[in-house]
Amino acid sequence: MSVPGPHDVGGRGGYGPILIEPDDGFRAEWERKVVGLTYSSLEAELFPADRWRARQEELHPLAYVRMSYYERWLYTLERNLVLHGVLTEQEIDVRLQEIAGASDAGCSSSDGSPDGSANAAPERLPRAIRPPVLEAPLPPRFAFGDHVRTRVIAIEQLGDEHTRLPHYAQGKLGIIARVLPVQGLPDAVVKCMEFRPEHTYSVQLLGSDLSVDGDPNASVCVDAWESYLEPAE
Amino acid sequence: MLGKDQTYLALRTKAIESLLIETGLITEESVDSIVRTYEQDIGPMRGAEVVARAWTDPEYKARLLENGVDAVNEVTGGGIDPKEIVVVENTDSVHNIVVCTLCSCYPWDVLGLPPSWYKAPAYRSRVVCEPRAVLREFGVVLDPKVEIRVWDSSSEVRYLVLPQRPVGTDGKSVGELAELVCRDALIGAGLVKA
Repeated sequence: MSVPGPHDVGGRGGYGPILIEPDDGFRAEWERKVVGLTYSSLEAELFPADRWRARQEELHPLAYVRMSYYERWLYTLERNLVLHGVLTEQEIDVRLQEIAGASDAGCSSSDGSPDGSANAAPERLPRAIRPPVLEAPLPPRFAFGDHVRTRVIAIEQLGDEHTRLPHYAQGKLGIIARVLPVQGLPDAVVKCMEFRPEHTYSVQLLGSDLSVDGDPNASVCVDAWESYLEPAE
Repeated sequence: MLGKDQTYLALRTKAIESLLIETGLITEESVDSIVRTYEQDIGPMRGAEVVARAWTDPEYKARLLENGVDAVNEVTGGGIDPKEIVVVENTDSVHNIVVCTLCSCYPWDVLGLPPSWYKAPAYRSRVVCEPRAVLREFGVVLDPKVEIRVWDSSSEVRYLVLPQRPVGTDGKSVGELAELVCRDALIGAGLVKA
């Protein structure tokens, strides 16, 4: 079983107390802009939402928890724009320096970018256009009340590969609580830009199976694509 | 981005914005109007109106539980993204609470901007393995016999909790009932005002 990525926090400890603060707004104008740029980019289909989510998952665990929420949005926005050939890191650096009015190399490029990589023109990918209709080729395999087992899904390279089956929910027995609509499989979009339609389901996992102190009177219902599931023995 | 200060982040955002607009692929108006909509036009009141209608109109409630998107659009006048909305009903024996453990998926179209705690790892990590304790921290103390269902929004489906109508509200109008419904109750992390 692979180690969960920094985003896959369900059931893990060590994140401290839940800080219930009254505000939920933006703390700076740039945060507001990042949200607007992200939604505009997604509407313009510059990259798919699944790859926008997945790219954050390549962050080092320390970076993931120390960066603010909208810093991560800015990170994945830039990474996706660059990887999909919309902008280059070099032109972003140059424009930043122009705006800042810096005359020396004080404003350096993004963290972790090796010398020379910012100068290479990325492969221009076609726009991430999702087909208008997603229809699964076969009827649903499962129905309400069916007993299923969730698969174990190994991710070899975070950021380049992706799944939406949380680590805590892998390799578990569950019951189909609801049949959900056909949705494109995120794993395929991220890995190879394939919009693969599958039936999806809400799968109820028993609390007592999920942790040592599991509450027998609690359960978690997780959404799962059909390829995440097998019939239970 | 790690270690960069607010000035740098603002400059980098500005650099990306100006370059993107120059490509002609997006416009400045689209960038600003989307956020304005979520900040000003959409908020938990949308969800509260849906709940108040469900409390007073049993046929609407049945439609809401059957097809969340269509029923929510009836109240909001349309415009909800066609992603599915599933409404889960609290009862005397079941309490529902919503999370997105993998990131922070949230019903923006119905509730507006998500609260900070919902997006942070502490809530996302703990609510799936100790929901009863987490609810207590939010001031929701449930009888141990009440079943808790946690809905992890791992797909494009968005979940909305339909809280129970408080006792003693028979004479209230739909508008007055909507005022009792707070955002946290629609997530399942709070109770409606009595």
